[in-house]
Amino acid sequence: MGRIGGNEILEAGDDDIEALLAQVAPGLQRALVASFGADVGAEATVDALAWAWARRRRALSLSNPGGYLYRVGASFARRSIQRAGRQRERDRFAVVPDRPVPDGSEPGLTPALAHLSPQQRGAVVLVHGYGFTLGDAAVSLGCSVSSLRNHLDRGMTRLRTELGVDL
Amino acid sequence: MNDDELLDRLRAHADELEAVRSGTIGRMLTDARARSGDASVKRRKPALLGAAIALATVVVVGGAVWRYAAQRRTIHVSASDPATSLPGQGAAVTARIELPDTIVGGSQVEAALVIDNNTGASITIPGCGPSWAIALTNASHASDIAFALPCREALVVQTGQTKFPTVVTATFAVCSNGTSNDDTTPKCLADTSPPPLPPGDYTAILVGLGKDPLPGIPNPSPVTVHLVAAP
Repeated sequence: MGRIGGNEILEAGDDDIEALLAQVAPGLQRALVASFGADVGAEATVDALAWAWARRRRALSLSNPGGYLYRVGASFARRSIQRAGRQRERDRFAVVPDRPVPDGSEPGLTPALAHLSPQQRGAVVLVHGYGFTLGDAAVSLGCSVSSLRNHLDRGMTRLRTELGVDL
Repeated sequence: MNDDELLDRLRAHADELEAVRSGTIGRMLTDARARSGDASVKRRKPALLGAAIALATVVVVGGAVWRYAAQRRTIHVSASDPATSLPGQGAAVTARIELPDTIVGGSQVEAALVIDNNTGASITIPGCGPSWAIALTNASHASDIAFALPCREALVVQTGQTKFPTVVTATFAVCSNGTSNDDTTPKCLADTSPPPLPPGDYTAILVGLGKDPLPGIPNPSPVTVHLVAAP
């Protein structure tokens, strides 16, 4: 296969790529939304899927398409965030920005999550929020289990510190 | 708060995300297919042909632009395809790329697509088609730009001159942390961001989803850019 990003001769069938993308889309969206917030993550998911659609033969050859497309989507997300630099960082991680905090919710969680790196946020939300195994979360984030564990440990340590969690 | 409560909060956060997320997969796939320009699927040029085209572009266009730039200032201005827009011959629509002639690898620089619409009426490019970007390419680096922002908006080109600002990023668009089975993908930096493009001469071109990045607008001529390593 040639270098990344160039135009490709597309020979794979639409059914094949549709099936693949339908399979990876939910996990991809969870991972990107967990890492970059609801709006940016959802948009990045569509961008990553479109990227795969336009390079379907390449996408079909990937051993971990979900993890690979997470990294593609993360690149889009970073670019989008850079363009929208004026948006307050913490707003990106509120599920519904400016919504009143519901009873029982932790008001400090959203700003605390905003202080994590995208990889730490993704690891924390996927593992402790969604209940992914370390292996599944690593596949979703396109990294090794040991990297995932580092992101998770650092993210949780920072969350505990910021939220004053009693250990 | 104790650790169990923190985990409860994270589960509640994930539940909220899931509630927002659920039911959107079908629409996402539809959007993705439309955004990919499915109706006009791109074709990879053979590597040698691509390299030859890139080199020829650098030689033919680059020489003229370099001479022009050397005489003028640090902003390149490229005319549109002469066949449709020779200056002074009343071309209805012309387009050109503006960006600095020297870029530091890894940086982001402001650039612009400038369109002169002399048709007397505004031009609307509807739907998902008008996704465009200015990409840096050369014989060893094909454009790997993909499209994120303008897809859901029609692009309206008013009469007169319209300047569409954009940002050109002198990095690879994607990278790998080593887990990918694609050994042609560059390694990510320590902060997981894509690495800078290597120094050298590049050609800045307008790229888009379909065959014509901006249907109805002539393609601007490529602009040669010298990319230098970060100090």
